[in-house]
Amino acid sequence: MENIAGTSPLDGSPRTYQPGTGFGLIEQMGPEGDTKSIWDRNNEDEVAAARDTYEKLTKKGYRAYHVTGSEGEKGEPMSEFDPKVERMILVPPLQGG
Amino acid sequence: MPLDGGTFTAGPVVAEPRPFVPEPGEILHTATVEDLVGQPGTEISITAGDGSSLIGTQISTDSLWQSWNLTLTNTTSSTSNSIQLHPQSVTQNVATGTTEIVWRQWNNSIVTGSVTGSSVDLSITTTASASAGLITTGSSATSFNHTPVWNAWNRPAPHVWQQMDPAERAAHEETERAAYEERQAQYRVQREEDRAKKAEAAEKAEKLLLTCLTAEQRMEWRTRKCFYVTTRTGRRYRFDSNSYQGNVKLVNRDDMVLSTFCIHLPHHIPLCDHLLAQKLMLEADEPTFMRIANEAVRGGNGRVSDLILAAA
Repeated sequence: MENIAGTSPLDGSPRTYQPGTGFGLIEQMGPEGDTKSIWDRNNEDEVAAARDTYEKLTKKGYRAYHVTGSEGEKGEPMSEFDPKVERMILVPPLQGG
Repeated sequence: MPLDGGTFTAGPVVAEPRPFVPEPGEILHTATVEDLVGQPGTEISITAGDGSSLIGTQISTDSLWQSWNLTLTNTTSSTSNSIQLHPQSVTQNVATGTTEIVWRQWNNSIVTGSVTGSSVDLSITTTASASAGLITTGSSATSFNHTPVWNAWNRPAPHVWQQMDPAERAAHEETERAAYEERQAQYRVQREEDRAKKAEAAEKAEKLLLTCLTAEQRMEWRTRKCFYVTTRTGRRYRFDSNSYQGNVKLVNRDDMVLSTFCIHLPHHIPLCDHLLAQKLMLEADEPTFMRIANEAVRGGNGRVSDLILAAA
């Protein structure tokens, strides 16, 4: 996977995510494409900010998927925030057409 | 009112109900108005009920009388209006914040006997504070006949329109055209910006989708703009990108569509995000996908969603 550009959940400063480097990635779908929040899994404040994002969105009905696989090709549903999860995608509620 | 020697008849008037109602079609008076509401120097034409036309100097909206009456009756805040009648003088003051209607007061004053007779010179002056939105106006009228002054003044509005000379009209049209073109240009810029934003969002969404596809799925996407997913139950689905609705299809080994599923995100979210959302849910939780989606069965087959939900 290529490096992924995003921002810090605390101050919005630019960051780059690379798997296995101690950072977590939340990709939140939205009208302008996804927003990528890259957080330091060893920084308590950033973990708290990531948890906050997760909880706010899931309360709105977003579904969270823990994306795994060398190319991110598998997604497992998450029932609660897990700071050990490296990459998660937050998806707005799906509805029947 | 700029009624310079003309004669006009009545028509309906807006504004406050009048204490005096003129007789329809009654020929009234001749009068002269020197200064009226609005910007001086603009020509207007008044066509009276008998077809005669008058030219005066005044700006109003669409009706001289209407403008005049509205100005006088809409004194709902701080005003001090005085109306002078020659040779007599009548002053009406309206206290701050009241809703008293000066016009009616003045009318009553006149009717109580201040002005009668076959000919009288009349001047009207009103002043009001700027905060009331009023401006100083003045006018005079002459040669009232037997009709009470107010009855004459309160005649329904003659039709008034603004006349423009050709040069002024051309300039006005040019201004309007320029304004229209500017709006159009702004609209085009906005449209381009929106298009660019959508394209950027679509690009981001496609990039995200590709990070969640296997090499084989990416190849399918690049060559056919679709990809296939085989779920834990062994069923094979094709994700098409030609529509937001019904784009997930259950297919057999020959790629024949057995069922179509309609399930989507809000439409303002880019299409590739829809595909990824559908894929993530179908792979992770096929029964929930089936519960949410609407299924359209093809070729007389049973509903696969029923089978999956029964087994779940």
